[in-house]
Amino acid sequence: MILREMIDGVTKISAVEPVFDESYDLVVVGLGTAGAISLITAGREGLKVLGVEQLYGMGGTATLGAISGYYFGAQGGLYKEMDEKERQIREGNLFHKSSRRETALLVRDREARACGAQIKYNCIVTGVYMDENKLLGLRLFQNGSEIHVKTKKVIDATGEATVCFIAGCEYDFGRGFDSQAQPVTSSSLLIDKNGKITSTNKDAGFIHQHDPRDVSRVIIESNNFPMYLKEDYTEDETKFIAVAPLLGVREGRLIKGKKKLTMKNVVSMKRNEIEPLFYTYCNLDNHGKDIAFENEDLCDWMVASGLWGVLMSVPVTMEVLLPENLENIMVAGRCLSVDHNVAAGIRAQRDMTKSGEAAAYICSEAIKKNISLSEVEYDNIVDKLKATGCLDEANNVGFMERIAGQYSGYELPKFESNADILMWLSSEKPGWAIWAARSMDEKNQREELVELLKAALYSSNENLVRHSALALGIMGERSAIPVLRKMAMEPDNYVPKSSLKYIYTRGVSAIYLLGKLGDVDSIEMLLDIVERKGLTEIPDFTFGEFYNESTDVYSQYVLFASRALLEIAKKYPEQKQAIVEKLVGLLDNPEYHIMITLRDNSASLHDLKPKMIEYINSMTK
Amino acid sequence: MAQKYYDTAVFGTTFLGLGAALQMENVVVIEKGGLFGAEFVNSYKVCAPKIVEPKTELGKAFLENLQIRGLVSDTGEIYPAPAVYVLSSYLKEKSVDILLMTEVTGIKKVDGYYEIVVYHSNGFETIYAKRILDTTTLGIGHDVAGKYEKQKQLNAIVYNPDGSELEGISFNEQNGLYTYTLPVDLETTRYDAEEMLCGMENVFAEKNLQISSIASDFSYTMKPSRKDVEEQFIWIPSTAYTNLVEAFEMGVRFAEEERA
Repeated sequence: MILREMIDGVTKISAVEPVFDESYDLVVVGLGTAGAISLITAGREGLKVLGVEQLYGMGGTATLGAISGYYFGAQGGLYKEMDEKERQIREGNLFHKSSRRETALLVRDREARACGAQIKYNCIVTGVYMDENKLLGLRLFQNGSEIHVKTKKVIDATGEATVCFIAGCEYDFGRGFDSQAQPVTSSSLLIDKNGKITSTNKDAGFIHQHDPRDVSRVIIESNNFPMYLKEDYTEDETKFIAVAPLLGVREGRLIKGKKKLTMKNVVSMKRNEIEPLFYTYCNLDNHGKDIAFENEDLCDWMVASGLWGVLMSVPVTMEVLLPENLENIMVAGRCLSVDHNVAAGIRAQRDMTKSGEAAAYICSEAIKKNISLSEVEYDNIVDKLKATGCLDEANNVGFMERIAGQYSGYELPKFESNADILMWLSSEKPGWAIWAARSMDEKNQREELVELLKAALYSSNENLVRHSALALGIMGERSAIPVLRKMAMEPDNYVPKSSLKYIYTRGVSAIYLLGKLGDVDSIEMLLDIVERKGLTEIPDFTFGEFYNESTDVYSQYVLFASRALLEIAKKYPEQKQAIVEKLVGLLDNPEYHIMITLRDNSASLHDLKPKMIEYINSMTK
Repeated sequence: MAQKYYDTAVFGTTFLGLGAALQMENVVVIEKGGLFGAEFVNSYKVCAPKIVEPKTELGKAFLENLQIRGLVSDTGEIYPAPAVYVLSSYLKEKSVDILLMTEVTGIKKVDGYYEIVVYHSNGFETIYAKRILDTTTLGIGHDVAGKYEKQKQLNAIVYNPDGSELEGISFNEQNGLYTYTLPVDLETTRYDAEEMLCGMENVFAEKNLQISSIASDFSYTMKPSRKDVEEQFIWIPSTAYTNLVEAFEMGVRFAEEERA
C-alpha cells in the first residue's frame, strides 16, 4: 500500500503499512451543498458512512457561506425534503422566519444522525492510501491527532477535488490563457430591527484559492470595500453581525473524468441518446467582466450572440462524476468533469445537491454488489433517482429564454427555415438566430443562408443589417466586415435584448468579430479604440448590475479591441510587431488604465492593465 | 520550495494575534478557519461595557478609529462585527503574512527554531519561527490551554420585540441587539448545544423571543493569562480579554514588550 500526500504542492509517495483506526463503507469528504446530501442519502441507503468536514457545519454555500435562496437549478431531489423540514421548523415559534442558515444546518445534522452517519467536523484529509490506482483509505487530521480510516469508496465533495488531487487525478482549472477561475464572493450577515437576517452577496475579486496567502489577501481587500468599511455605522437600519465563515468560491478544480462534458457537447448533444443522472438548469453564469480573455466558444455565445442569460438544462451522466484513472472514488459538487464554460452553468445549489444524491446511489450500488463504480449499471439506480425527483424528464428543457423575476423561461424560437432566422435577426432579440447561423452545418442550407444574409446587409431595416453582419461574422464570412467596421467606429452602443443581463453592446460584438475575421484593415481603428479616442459619455444607457458607469462600458471596447488586434497579429505575423509595439507602448504609460468594476459592486474598481500585459505575452509568444 | 523563516509565528487571526502581528516584523499568522476576530465577532460573545484606555499608539489609534465610526460608546460598549473591517484596514496598510484555512499539524524545536508543519490547500508546508505566540482559546500543540479553567457558551442573537427579560439574555446598547447565552459543558458539541437551544422553545415562546442567528462557534470566558508553554512559546488567549479593543491592545503591547 502507498500513502500519497502533498508537500509544498508536490506529491510524495511512501510505501506504508498503516494500522487503520476506523473502517467505513463510504467516506464523504466535504459536507457542503453536495456532500451533505451525499451523506444523508448514503446513510439512508444503509451504508456505514463517515462525513468529514473542515469547518463546523454542513450545507456549504447556503449555511456557512450565508447565501440562502436559490439561483435557478432544476427542481426535484432530496433537497426538497430538507427544504420542507426547514420550513416546518421556521413555521414554529423558536426560529425567526429568516433564519434559513440555522434551520438548514440543524436539519442536515439531524437527518445525518437519524440515518446513522458519523460526522467529523473541523477535520481535514492530509493523505490518501492507495494500491496502485485504487483508493483504500484516508489519513485525517482532527484536534491535533491523525486518524487512519479504511473505506471502500470515497465521495470527494470538497469543491476543489482535494482528495482526487492528492490521489493523482488530473484536472483542469480556470480559463485557458491564465487559469483564472471566476471571481469569488464575500458575504456578511446582517440583521434588521425586526430580527430579519439578510446577507450581502458581492463579487470580491479574483483569487488563487489554493494559495492560503491569496485567500487572506482577497478577504482583506473585500473587508475594505466601502459597503463594509464605513465612515459611520450609527445610522444603519440593518446591523452587521458576522462575516460568513465560508468564502464564496464559484469555480474549483475540474477533474478529468471518464468523460469531459464540454460546451461543444452541450450545444450539439443528442439528448435522447444519453443516460442522465440528473439535469441541471441555469445559464452559463460566468461573473467575469474580462470575457475578452476567455475562449472563442464562450465569446461567440456571450459576446457575439449575447446569450449570457439563456437558461440551459445540461444532462449529467455517470462518467462525468468518475475520475479517469482512479478507482473507488468519485466526485460530487462543482468539481465535475466539465470544461470551464459548462462549469459556470452546472453549479447552482439545487443541481449540486443532485450530484451529491446521485453519487451516493452509485456508491451504494457498487458497495452492495462489491463492484467498481464504473461497473454500476444505470438501470439499477435510475428508479432511485426518479423516486425523489433527482432525475425528472420535466427538467430536460433544452434552452430557454430567461424572463425577469421568473424561474421558468420562454422556449427559444425554432428555425424551420432560413427565413425564420432572418425574421429574428430583424428583431431586438437576434441572439439565438446569430447562434443558429453559427451552428448551421448542413452545407446547402448554410450556403443559402450566407447569400440571404449578404443581401440583408443592404436592407432598410437597420437591425437586420447589423444583426446580419454579426451572423455573417460569427460564421467567418468576411462580407460582414464593412458593416462591422461601421458599428465599431460609431460606436454602436445599442444593447440587444436577446437575453437578460450582461449583454454586450453591438459595437463590442462587432469589434470581437473583426478580430475573429482577422480584418487587417481595421488595425488603425482598433488602435484608436484602445487609445480611447472618441469614447465619450454614453447618453441614455441603462447602467446596472453589469455596467456600473461609462468607464465600464468603454473598458469593454478597449479589452475587445486589444483582443481583436492580437487575433489579427496571430493571423498576420507581419503585422504582429507593429501591433504589439503600439499596445505595449500604451500600456507602458503609467497614466493608462483599463478600469472595470466587479459585477454589482461599483466600489470594486480594479485595473486590468496587468492582465492585459499578461494576455499580450501569452498571445504573442 | 524555499523554506520560510520568521521571527514570530502567531497562531490565530484573533484580535490579540493580529494586534501583535501588526506591530511585528517578519511575522506569519496561521489560522485554521477563514475569519478574522471570530473569537469575539462570530461567537457573538457578550462583552460587558468597559472603558479601555490603551497605552500603545496603535491601540489608541484603533480605539479612536472605532469610536469615530460609532462602534464604541462612551461607556465602552462595542458594536463588534464592523471592527473586523476596521482591523482589515490596518492589515491592508501593513502587509502581514497570513495563512487562512491552514491547520498546524506538528511543532518541534530544531536548531533554535520552532519547526511548524502546517497543512492547507497546497499540502504540507514547513515554517520556521524563533518564537510562537498562540492566541487561540484551546491552544495548539500544547496542553497548557486544556488545563486552564474556562467556561464555554453558545450564543444566539435573538429577536426580542417586547424587551423581555430572561436569565441569559443581554442587551447591547451599541448595536441594539439582544443575545442569549447558553452555558454548556466543555465537551458539548455544537450540534448538541444547538439542540439544547431548541429545547428552550417553550421558554422562548413565553417571552416572545425568537432565534435570529446562532453563533458559528462557541465563546469562552476565562481569566486573562500569559503562560509559557516552553521558552519562546507563549500562550495568551485573545478571548480571555473583556472585549476586542482590550485584546487588540494586549497584542500590540506584547509585541512592543518583546521588541524592547
